Amino acid sequence: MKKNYMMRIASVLLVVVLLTTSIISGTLAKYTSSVEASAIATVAKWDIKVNNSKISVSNPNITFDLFDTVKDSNGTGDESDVVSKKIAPGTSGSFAFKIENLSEVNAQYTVALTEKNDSNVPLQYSIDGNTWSDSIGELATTNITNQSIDMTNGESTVTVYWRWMFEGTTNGAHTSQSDESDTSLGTMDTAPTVTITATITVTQVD
Amino acid sequence: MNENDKSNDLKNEKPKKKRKSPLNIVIWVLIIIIILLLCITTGILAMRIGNFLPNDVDVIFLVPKKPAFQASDNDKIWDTETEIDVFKAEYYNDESVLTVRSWDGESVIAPGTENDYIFYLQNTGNVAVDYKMKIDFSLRVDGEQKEIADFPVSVRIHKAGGEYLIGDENTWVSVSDVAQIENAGTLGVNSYESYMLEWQWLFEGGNDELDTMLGSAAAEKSISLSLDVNTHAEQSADAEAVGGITDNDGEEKPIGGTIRWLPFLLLILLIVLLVIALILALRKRRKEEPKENIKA
Repeated sequence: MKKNYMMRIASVLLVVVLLTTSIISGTLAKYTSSVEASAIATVAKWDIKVNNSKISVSNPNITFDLFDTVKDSNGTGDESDVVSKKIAPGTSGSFAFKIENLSEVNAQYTVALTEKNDSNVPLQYSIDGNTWSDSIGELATTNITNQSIDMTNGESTVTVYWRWMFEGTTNGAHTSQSDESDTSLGTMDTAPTVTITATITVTQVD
Repeated sequence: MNENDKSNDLKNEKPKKKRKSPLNIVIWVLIIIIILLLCITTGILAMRIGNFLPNDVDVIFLVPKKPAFQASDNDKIWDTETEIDVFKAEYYNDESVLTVRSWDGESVIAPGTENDYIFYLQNTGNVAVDYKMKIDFSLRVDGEQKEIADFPVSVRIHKAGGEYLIGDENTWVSVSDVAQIENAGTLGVNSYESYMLEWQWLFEGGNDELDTMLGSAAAEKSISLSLDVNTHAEQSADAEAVGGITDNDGEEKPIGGTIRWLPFLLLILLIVLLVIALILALRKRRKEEPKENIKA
């Protein structure tokens, strides 16, 4: 039989072509990569104390003793001529609020003072101890309104002074005070009371 | 006529010009077609080999595949567990006054704080990758996950192209209402995707009581907001798939698995030359065979 080499070559090439066109299949591991990132932040503390009592939404009120320490009207020494915890002509005193910002944010405070004095006890008030007002509502509020108390300074103290002058005729005494009115107050069946409410509003500063 | 005369006649007879038969022409055409087919299929084979070759295998005429994926921000490249600076320990207002500062140097959030954070998912290899990205927010009280309704921190997230995954240009969504955020896509070679996460705790958010309650509670216990970003990337089935933003600044990389044309063409040329040499050798042998037969 005659050999046809051309046909052989063609056949071999055809086989090669068929082989190379076959589908290559298989499972090969592919690249995968996973990366995680995270961030966490805690809510900044809001921690305000007034006179060492923590103020919060659930505990907004504190009590303080307005007449804890009664001094003589000159303000130099404890009053010895009046029963303890009572006020009378010739007495004076002060009360203070220590406001602490233990938060992680800056804050400012405003102190609003109101007085309930139905019997018109002739008390006078001052923020600095020098300038006196006949009504607590007439106090200059410059030093107790929007006062910064940032987290670095931490605390601020507001002192309110009060006095009941011994002599109503003394220069600077309460305009409605007289010996008669003082006597009238002292002889009432029910001792008159004075209630002072301090509303301290502390707000975060942005 | 004696035997010698016959022999001389045979010697003097001019060899007849051999006519190519039609069959031979057809066979030659077929051979040429087959060679061309061989070249084409070799190319296809090379590409298929390129697709299926394991990564990093370097064949002389194929670009080795080196898939790689990277997540990063403007400061660092993320690794398996990276702490990212979405929140801060200190915040300043527009007048550069410090308004919030953590006592312990850890990140805090408070009314009036906000920040944005940009991160990138980048294809750093030479084949396309498919990726999935998940973002989770969780609220914890003393480490225990809690649901806090209407938590005052709100977020929005969008891609560089402006596509919002959560919220929109005018809408922020409380983290309390954000379910897991997922996004998937393909990053072609020399491409990346960029995401911007914005968060804010409005100073005047309309619920001072809630803000105060959270702040006061935070003085007693740890109330935290966690953010987790998980990215997963895998090699795309199509190494040449496109997607993401083309990185025009980077060096353009050849795509893995594709043909290096110069070595490939040289290879094809070599194959063609070998085939031609084989054919010529066989033809020569064929020519010599009749002479040998005659001698025999």
